[in-house]
Amino acid sequence: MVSNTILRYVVDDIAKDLKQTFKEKSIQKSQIAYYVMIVANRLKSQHISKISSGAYVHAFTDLPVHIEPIGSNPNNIAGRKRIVLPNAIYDFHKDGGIDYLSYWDREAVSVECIDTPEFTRRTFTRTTPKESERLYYDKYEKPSASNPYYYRQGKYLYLLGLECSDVATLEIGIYSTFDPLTKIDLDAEFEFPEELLLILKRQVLDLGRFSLKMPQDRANDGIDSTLLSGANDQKLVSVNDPINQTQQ
Amino acid sequence: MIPVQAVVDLMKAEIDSEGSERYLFDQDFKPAINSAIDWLVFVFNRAFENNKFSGEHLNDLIRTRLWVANNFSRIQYDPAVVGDGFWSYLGIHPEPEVYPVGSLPPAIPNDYTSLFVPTVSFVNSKYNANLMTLEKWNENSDNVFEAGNNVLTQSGLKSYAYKTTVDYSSTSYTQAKEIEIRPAVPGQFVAVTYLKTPDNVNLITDDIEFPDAITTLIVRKSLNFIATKQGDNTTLFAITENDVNSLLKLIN
Repeated sequence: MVSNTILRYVVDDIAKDLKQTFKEKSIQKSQIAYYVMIVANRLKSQHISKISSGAYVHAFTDLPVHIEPIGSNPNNIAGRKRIVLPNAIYDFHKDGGIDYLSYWDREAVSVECIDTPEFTRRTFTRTTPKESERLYYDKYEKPSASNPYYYRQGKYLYLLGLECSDVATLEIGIYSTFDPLTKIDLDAEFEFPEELLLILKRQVLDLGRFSLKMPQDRANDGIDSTLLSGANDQKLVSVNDPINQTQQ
Repeated sequence: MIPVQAVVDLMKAEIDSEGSERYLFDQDFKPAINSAIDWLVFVFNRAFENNKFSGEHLNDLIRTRLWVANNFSRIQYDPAVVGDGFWSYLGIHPEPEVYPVGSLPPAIPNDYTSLFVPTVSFVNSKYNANLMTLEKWNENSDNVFEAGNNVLTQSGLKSYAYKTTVDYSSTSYTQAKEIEIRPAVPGQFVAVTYLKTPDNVNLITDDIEFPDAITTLIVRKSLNFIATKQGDNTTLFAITENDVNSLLKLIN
């Protein structure tokens, strides 16, 4: 189940538990939000990799197909068709962070329903630059506009089979990571499994306790104090802890 | 507020001078009470520094007023303009809601002049600026995990900081000591909550701007000053010194 909460509630709850809701707080709200993002990304990626569900797929349409011009950056291979991933994705095995990649073949005839746009979805198959060599030797696997392939390099997806096609835009479904700290919206829906909120909170509290454990006299606050923080010691978590057993 | 008359009556009772002319208000009680007030300001300062006591308990002395920050996001507190002696900042509130609703900040005459705006009142703000040391101020301007960073601007994560009072004046920048707020709020309203210094007592009909709860402390400390006239180690001095020390321990 996708969470019913918003990120602000999670952050404020933890800030309250860590007693960090006052002016002279040691941990800023942005830092707690960052903790939440770190832990939430880990737990969510484990959740998605275990459970086949479309609950966390983000779909983007009209992604423009580019042909990179010749430039000085050796990482940008000129002349090949590619798209830019619209968001950071989880780096699952065999590019599993990409749920699907497709385009609309506008020239295909719609048989069943004339009210819908006349297209047929063409879905891309994942490959790698090395594996793609073999594809061209098999007429049933050879990349073409009706049987396109993609391979990933960093934030780019290079396309095989569209070399002689004028497809201008693609549609993609991806498993996005949470937005970076500079872009997150505390009041947006927190796309996180509800059943994992307890584990999320516990692990973020551990991170917060670690910060609060730092001796106060290392902070340059102009006050001479030899007293250390009274925060509880962080408990070591065994690899056999139920947290790790259930999520790994 | 503590009526001066009540303090004087309690002092007279302690020194058993009711109806006598031995101790006069102008010559004895007034200087002693004013000295006790000054002494209390010093003691409370120490308590504030050690986070032992909050200025919010001195509610008779708390004021919130509005300023317009200059183009360098700085504000000058000028007691002559504000009309209150300055003791300490309790809160700096950027982006305030104000009354009358829709009031616009007056235009500042030049880059460096901040304006005190007595015609508009503070209503509310979602923000509070944290005090930052001079070293942290420079180091952390782009640190998203520190208050007052210039990076996070979205609702809920934006945080303000202010730098302690510094004199930036020169022949071309004629302002006295100012605080500075970050992220910058040039030409915008900023609400400042501060503690004013308590006014000195002039007449026996005046009030002392401290909470009623510390009446005993003021009486005992005032008696302590009167005791000084009687010579050191007198009985009155010893008694009041003990009482004052006991009360201070409760505060600290």
